[in-house]
Amino acid sequence: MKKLRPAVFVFLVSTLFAAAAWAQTRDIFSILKDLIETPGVSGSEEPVREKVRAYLPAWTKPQVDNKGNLIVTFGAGPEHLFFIGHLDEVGYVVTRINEDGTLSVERKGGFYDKYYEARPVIVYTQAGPVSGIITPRIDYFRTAAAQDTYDVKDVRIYLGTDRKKDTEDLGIKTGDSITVPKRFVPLAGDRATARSFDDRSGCTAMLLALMRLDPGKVKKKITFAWTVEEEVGLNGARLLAEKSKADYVFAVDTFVSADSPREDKRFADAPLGKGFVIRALDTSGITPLPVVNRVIEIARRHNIPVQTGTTNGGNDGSTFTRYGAINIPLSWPGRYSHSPIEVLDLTDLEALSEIIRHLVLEF
Amino acid sequence: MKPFMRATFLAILLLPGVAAAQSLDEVRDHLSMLAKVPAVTGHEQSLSSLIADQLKKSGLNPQIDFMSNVTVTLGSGTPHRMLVASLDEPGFIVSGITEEGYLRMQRIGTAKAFPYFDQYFEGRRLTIRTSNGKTLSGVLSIPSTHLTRGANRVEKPFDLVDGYIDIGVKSLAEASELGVKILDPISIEKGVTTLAQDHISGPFLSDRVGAAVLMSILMTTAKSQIKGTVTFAFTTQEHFGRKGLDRMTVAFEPDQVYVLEALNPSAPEDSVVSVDVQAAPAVRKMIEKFAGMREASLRAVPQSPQWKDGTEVVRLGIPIRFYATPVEVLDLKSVQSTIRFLRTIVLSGVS
Repeated sequence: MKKLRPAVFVFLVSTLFAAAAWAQTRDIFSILKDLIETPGVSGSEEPVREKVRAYLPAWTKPQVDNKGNLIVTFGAGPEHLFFIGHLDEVGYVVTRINEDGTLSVERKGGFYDKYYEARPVIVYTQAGPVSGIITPRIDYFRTAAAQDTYDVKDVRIYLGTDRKKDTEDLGIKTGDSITVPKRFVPLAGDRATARSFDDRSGCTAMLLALMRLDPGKVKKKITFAWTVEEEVGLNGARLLAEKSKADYVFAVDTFVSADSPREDKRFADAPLGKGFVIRALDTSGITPLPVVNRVIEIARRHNIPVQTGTTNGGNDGSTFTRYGAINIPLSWPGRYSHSPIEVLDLTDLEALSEIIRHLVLEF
Repeated sequence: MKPFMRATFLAILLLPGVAAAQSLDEVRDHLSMLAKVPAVTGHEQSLSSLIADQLKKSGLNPQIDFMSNVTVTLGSGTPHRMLVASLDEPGFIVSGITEEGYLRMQRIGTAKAFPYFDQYFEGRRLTIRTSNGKTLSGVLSIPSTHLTRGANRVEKPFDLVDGYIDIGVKSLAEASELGVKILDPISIEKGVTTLAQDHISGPFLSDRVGAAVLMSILMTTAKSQIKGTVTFAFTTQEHFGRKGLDRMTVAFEPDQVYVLEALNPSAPEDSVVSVDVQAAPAVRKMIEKFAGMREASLRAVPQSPQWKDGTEVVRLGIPIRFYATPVEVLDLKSVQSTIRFLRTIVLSGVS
């Protein structure tokens, strides 16, 4: 029996570690799923903001500014670290109710309309959600239809009504936001697919970092902000940047990865499942190499898998640099950006959450 | 039956509340249940089993053949009518697995409904049914918006050459461990959206609406009242040369075949249930008694050389907007009209 004791001990310890890892994955899974399945097209972020607020630890003192950004500030010290993720997602907004009962729309954010063609959608009215579909392009049966361009001006939403008045009676008004039905769908292993991992994943990573943080150990001034209207021009972040007096800003947002078969791997080739990514160069800025190395050093100290890379796109942190802050974008590698089928690996998100927590304490 | 007696019988049947009727909600639930089950051509087994189970619960004795066609025969004597609805939808099979674990795909059959058809699969969630009976979710890969924007790429429609299905695995070995094999069927993710004014939408409702009609009639019609013999046939492989229909007509040798099909409306007047002008005069005359129906010249159904000589084919077209897309739209009132019309045919013995 005595000989068995070390084996039993190892078994118990490994079981405990496995259980802890499982519990962490469950945390990510359940929070991310909840945030994903809540709509928040740019300009209509309130439902997501309230979800995020509800997950905040009791010790935080959240505030919402006039723009709608959610802000948590804590700790004190000579340096101010600012972590920023965005609440909003790309989508459509109603611009007109047509005589035939269909809706015309405008885009919020950048994406290919053809990946939204012939899909179910939900229109969020004051009276509640109304289901509809984005119709196939006109005369889609024609041979030449395949060669047509398809743009937002071609997008029509059909709700089952054939008259303007019937559509109005459903409670629909111009300005109502529209998304595809939001659903978090697990894939094999630790991967999942959904619309709006960008940037509900960033929001989740920041939440988890806060939930696992001991605020008594913090020796700097720290701000966590969940912003509005990133996808339509970094508008929420712009307002915060002006007043923040931050020394370092960590934009927590997607690294659009070329890790899929239809991408050119010339750049942005950060594989899924290999850790969080320091987005050292993107369309909106460059991060100084010594600072990149400092983050890598902290990650390695804690065995957090880390990658560095360059990709396209901007981020909220870039609005802070004109006020003297250094922007260090932190990401998870994501496939199929701004489409209804974005894909991520939850282990990368776990790594992202952990590096945020350690940066708060050690950067 | 003398003309007077037949007219009286029909009049009684058509009185509101006399014939068993299903509410629109019941029709929607019925259709939704069928529409949510993947059944690509040649892989209809799950849907066939579901239909058979439902019919058994109603005290019926459905038969399933080796092609997964489901049949129920009621009544006796002549005429022998067969009501036909197909079950299968267009889809793909796994044709290969890359070293990175992406699934390649090949169309079942050769014909596309229209040139742009495959585009509506790109960037979608798909369902793969593995050989060990598991259902896996995957997505059909696309280029990212951020990485292609401004890259001066030529915009071209999706082609199967670019078909890579991402199921979340990292290697061929992981895909194999999940049970994925060559020939596993791939369907578009199924679901039904309820729209306003009794409309519903979903992928390939046109390949389920006929089955929903037949099931409704079977579940709400008293067997003892059926005149002649009626075979209800839920057929497979419609999208591969109508092989199921051929087999059923050869197996049962009906005098008359009612084929339920989707009608792709090209004009507002096409938005009602249509009965082919080739139908027998007595059948066409019944149309007048039903709201939301009309007589129209529909595309002829080609008969198999093996069919019995003189087999009469009556085609019923149920209007489906956005036909053959993932957002087909159906007016439930059309389904209700079709159910009432066909039930009357079954009960009256009209031929």
